[in-house]
Amino acid sequence: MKKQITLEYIEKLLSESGSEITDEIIFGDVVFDKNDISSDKYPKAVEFLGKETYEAARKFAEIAISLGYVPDSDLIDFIYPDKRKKTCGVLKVNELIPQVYKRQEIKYQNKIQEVVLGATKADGGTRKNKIVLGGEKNVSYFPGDVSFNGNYVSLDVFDMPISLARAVRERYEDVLEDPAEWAKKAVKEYNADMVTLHLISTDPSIKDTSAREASKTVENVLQAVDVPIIIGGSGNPEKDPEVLEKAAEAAEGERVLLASANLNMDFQRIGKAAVKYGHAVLSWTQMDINSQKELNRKLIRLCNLNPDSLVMDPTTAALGYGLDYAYSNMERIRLSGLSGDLELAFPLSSGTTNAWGAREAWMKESPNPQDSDWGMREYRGPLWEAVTGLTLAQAGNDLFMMMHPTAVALLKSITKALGGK
Amino acid sequence: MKATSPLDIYPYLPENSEELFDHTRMSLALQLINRTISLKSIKDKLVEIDPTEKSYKALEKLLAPAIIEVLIGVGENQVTIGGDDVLFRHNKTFYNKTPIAISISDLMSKEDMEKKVEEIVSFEKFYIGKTMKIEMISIFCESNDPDTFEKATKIVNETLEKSKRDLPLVLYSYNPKAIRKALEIVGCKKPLIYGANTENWREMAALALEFEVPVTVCGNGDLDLLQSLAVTFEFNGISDIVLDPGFENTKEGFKNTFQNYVSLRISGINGDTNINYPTVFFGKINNSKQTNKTEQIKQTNQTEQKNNLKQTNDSEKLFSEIPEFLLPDENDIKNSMFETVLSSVMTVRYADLLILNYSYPHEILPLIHLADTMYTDPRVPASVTPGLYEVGNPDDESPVLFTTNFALTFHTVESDLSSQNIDCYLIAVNTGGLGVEAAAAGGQLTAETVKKEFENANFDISKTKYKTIIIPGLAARIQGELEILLNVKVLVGPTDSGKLPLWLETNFNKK
Repeated sequence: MKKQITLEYIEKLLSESGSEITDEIIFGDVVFDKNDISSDKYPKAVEFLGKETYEAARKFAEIAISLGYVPDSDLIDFIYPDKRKKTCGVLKVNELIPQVYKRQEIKYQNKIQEVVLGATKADGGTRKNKIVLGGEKNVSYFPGDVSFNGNYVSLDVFDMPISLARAVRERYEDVLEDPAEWAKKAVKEYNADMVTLHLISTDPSIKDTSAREASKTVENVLQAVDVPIIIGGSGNPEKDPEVLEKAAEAAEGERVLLASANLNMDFQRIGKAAVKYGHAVLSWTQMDINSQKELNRKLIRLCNLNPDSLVMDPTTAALGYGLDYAYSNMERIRLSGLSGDLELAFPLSSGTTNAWGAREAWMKESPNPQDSDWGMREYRGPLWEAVTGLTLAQAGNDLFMMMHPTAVALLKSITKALGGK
Repeated sequence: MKATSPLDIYPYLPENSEELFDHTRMSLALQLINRTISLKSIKDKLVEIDPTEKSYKALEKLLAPAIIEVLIGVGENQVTIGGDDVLFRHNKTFYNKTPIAISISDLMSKEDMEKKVEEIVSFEKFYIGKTMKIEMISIFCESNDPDTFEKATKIVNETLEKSKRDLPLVLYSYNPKAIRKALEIVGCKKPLIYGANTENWREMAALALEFEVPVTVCGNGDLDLLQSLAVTFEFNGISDIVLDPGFENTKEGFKNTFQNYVSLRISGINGDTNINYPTVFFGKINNSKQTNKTEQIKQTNQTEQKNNLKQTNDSEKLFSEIPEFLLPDENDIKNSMFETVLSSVMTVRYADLLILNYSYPHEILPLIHLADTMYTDPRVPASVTPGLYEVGNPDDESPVLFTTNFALTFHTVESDLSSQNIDCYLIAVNTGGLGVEAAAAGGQLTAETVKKEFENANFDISKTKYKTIIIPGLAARIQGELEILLNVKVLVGPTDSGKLPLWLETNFNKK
């Protein structure tokens, strides 16, 4: 025979456990007398059973709907009670209804790969410090993201004078001719965590500097500063593999980031050079999550690149010029990585300098006579770069390649506060 | 929204949907779920069929967004905030672009106030075929004097009524007497009142009920209090609630601010109906020049205690580490830059309305672009309308170029040309939103499709002086065929439009 449970028994359970039944399993029929309910004899039991029964009824009603039954709106009211019924005039309560806010967090199963850049004496290099990228277990800065290694900024240095937006040029005027001095200034005066040496003069259509000659510039910059460095080619897919191979050799032991490998070139030479000389590779794709997966996979499988040596650059578009795509592409990549797609669970890097491609960043005034005054470009430009970077920071970006020191300072203030680093 | 699949709402739609709305019943259901058709737009017909409104009401409940929508203002300039259903824009889209409200102090002179209102109303930024504007004005009761606030509200309101755009207002004061005075003038225009806290909430709630206006509840960093205010207001019959979780200008404080906004949004999206309201953010950096009496009133007993325990020193302030030489000398400009980056961060993470202390163009431009960035529908293919575009002021001697209608490609090419002041004709060929390389390989960019686009645009190339078309380097393969089809000279341009200006100089000789 089934066990019979009385209100008295439930009341007793609730009184003992402090009005909640948690670990107890009660199995059997509840038997009660109507008079017991209307009296105040078992208040806790009545409240408990009432609530449970009501919740059960709602669950059943939900099942009815999912079975295709079409209820009228009264039943919908019952399932999803609408608390927002208007009462007019005077207040119904004169004291605040006490509430405890239930903080909710999203949890992810995976952790973003940590990638170390720079090698100190202890690791066989000459850098003063190393930098760890990645390590996130949650969306950047969300509650619960405690293992984050922080954001870092690498300032751009070019191996020859190039045309720069006026607001940027003013900050580097004295060092444009000398990459080593340029790098020094970036670190000492502008607080760069790293520098990116762009070997653009190697482009055959620019100066066609030889790979060997370019690697001398690499050595000079490594001597001028003691922060970890990034070495970039000219973007010429034919020349870059050779240039970056030689640069990787020249920087052996320093654990630089080689920028970058791309599907449109012989990326294997770059991947293999990184493996041979102990560097990391920037895996660069043009705003396409599937290409990003493909290149990451190929670098690891075909070049034997260790996953702890891969950083992704899924392409940065400037605010107003495609940042919406860049943002969502990056956010999708990061969320895939966190959700367990190991081919996308790598730290992210952004060419935030691209923000200066927006005319709003560098033009003195709007070319469009309809527009209201654009204001002072000396403030507008750095803000354009900072806002572009900060937006991507929230999509998960770890490393920022930037140019304007004010933009860098603004970005760092915010990301340090949000990341707690 | 509660409905997760078209099947959830299908039973409530009329069987003859196709006749009524030009969409099959299932397609209508899908579009309602995707919010590409609004329930409001089909309400009349639904009610006509079912005067009891039973199915309409059922649909309304099932389709209600997770975050409640709050309407501010009336008429054509009314703004809607809230209405979101997802945490990440690529999962659907964000709804109701974050509007900007510029703060105007009631201590300003009448002339300054009028000037500022006019500036705000007339601000325009042209962007991909649309004009972006400032949506709202916030009147700040800096005086904490009801009469001064009343006067200011009158001036702002009159200036707005005389202008082209009667913008919705925020009435910003913790003093219920001041709010009442202002509501007596503009209450019928549904302004948002700001804000209710532990001290004034009874009066503020009564005002919201009496004037039927939306109201902001302020948590001052305390989410239990915030929820308590929201639940109490709701219990009293107020449904148009906006949340201000609070902002603190310290490193730790801003981190808390940010996480509070994120938590609230996660709760709301996950179905916590106690606190699923839109949020407002006002990243006010305290300005040494202004004595903020109302800010002092804001310090409720609770927060006063907190502040007494924890004295903030300057090094804990958010931007204290930035060396002076990297910042402008002028305090207001400096603060406006701080306000810009703070507001930009909160635009990305879930502020549904921004109030700004400053209105410098260097602040408005990035913020207005960022709101657009975040709220553009990612489901809409990234394309521009195919057809003829004029870059600069072209004439019959100007170069004629084409590219694809992939938005990024098109805008890049367009800006590469216009930024160098090149006058030319640029035709966006309909490739279904594909870039040049992919479309040339995939057959969407062929001599035929290019010809068709020229015809659609009514562009007669034979009437130009040089009868020449410049094609993208990545589409070189169609050169020969195009020459035959259009009977013109076809030049292959560079593969990167960044090199176009230089290329044109060397290869497109006007003489």
